[in-house]
Amino acid sequence: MQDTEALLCAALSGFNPAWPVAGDADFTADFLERSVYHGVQPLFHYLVKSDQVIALGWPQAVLEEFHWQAIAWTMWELRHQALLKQVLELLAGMGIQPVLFKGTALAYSLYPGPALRSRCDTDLIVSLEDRVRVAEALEGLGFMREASVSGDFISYQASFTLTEANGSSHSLDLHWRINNSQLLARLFSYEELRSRAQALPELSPHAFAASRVDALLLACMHRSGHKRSPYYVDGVAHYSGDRLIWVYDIHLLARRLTRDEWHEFMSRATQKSLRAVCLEGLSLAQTCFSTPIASAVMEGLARPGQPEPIAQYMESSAVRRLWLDFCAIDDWKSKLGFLTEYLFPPASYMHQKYRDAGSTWLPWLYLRRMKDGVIKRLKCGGE
Amino acid sequence: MNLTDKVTIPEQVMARQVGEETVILDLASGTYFGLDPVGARIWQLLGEGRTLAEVCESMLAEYEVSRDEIERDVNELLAALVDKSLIKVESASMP
Repeated sequence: MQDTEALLCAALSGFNPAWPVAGDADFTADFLERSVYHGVQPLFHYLVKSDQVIALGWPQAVLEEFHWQAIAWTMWELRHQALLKQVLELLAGMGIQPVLFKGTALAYSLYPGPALRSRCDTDLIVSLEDRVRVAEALEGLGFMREASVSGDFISYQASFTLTEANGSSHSLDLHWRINNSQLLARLFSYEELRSRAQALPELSPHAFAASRVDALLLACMHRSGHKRSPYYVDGVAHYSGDRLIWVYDIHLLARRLTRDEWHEFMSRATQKSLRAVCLEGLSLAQTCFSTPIASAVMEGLARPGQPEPIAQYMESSAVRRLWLDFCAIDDWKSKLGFLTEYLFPPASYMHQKYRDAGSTWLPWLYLRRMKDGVIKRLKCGGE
Repeated sequence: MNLTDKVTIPEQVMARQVGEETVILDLASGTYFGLDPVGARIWQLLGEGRTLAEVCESMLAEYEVSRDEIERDVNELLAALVDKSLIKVESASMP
C-alpha cells in the first residue's frame, strides 16, 4: 500500500494518524489527488475531526478542501435525491419496480448520510420487458440517452443524463442485466434481485435496493471487475479494484451482516462461483479497514476447489474475456449474433463515435474501428 | 426588519449538517451559507414557522445574553440570508 493510501485508510479507520511529511507540497498534492480518485473526501470529512488532526500536523489546505468537497457533495446529493424521487414515483405509477444497486443503494442503506458515499451516477436494474418503457419515461423527464454500443448480446445497459439549468449533471445507468459480460450477466437476474430486495424509505417509498447479501456479492464482483475494465475519474481511465470507497462499501456491508446472512452469503458465493472474488474483496477490507470477519468465513472462501471461471475472467486480458464471453453463449446462432454485434455496432453509434472523422461511409468507419481496436490491444499487450 | 415580520424559507433552500457545521444550501442557485451553532438554532426556529419575536424569546431563554444582543444577532443573520436570497421576509403590516 502506498503512503497516501495507508494514511487515508488509517484516518478512515479512526486512528488519527499524524501527517507524515510537513511542508512537502508534492505529497500534499498527491494526497489530494488520490483522495479524489478513491472517492473518500466527504467520508473523510465526516469521520475525521479537524481540531484533532490539525494538532497532528495535517495541513489546513487539505482539511479545507475536504470541507468544500463535503459541501459540494451534499448539494449534489440533494439535487440527485430530488430527481431520483421523481423518477421512482413515475416508474411506480407505471407499475415498474426497479432495484437500485451499487453506489446509491449503499449510500441510502449503509452510510450515516447519503452524501458521504460519493458517486457519479445511480445504477438501477429493471426487467428486460420494462426497459423500453423506462427509457421512454426517462427521456420524458428530460434525460438524454448517451450514445453507446447496443444490441441483444453486447450491452445490457444504457446511460441517461440530465443537466439542470444550474449546470448540475445527473446520470442514471439503466440495466436490464447486471453486467455487459455474457458470463457475468448470468450471475444475477432482475427477478432474483427483486425477490430479495430491501426497501430504502430514506430515499423514497418506491425505492428498493439489492439485499445486503446480494449487495456484498455485487460489491466484491464490481471492484474485481475494474481490475481489467476502466473506471474513469476526471476523464482518466484507471484499471484497478483498489478504490477505497468500494472497499469501504465492503467493510460496512461485512459489519452489518448477521450470522444467518453470512451463511446465505457463503452459500450464494459458492453457488455462483464467486468465492475467490469475495475472498479477495473481504481480505482487502481487512487490510485497509481492519474489518472484523469470522475466520470461518475466510476459511470457507479460501477452501481449495475447482478453479472458478469468474475469478479467471476478472484476471484475463480483453481478448481472453471476449473468448470466455463467446464460450458462455449457449447456441451457435446467438454466438454469431454476439460476434456480429461486437464487430459491427449500429450505424447510429458509429456515426456518433466518429462524428469528427472525414468520411461517414460506414464500411470505412468499421475498418477504422477495427484498426483502432487492434492497435489498442497491441499497445496494452492484450489488456 | 421588524420583530413582527414573517420569515419564509423557499422550497429549494435546505439546511444540512456537514461534519460539524450546519450549512444552508440553495439547490437552484448553488448558494452555500455556513452557520455557527447559534445561527443553526435560529434557522431551526425559523424553520418551525416562528415569528422573529418568538425566535428572540426562545433564544433569550436558551442563551445567557441580553435582549439587545439577541435581536442584533438575529437581525444580522437575517440580513445576510436575505442578501443571499435564502429567505423571504414579509412585513406583518402587508395585507
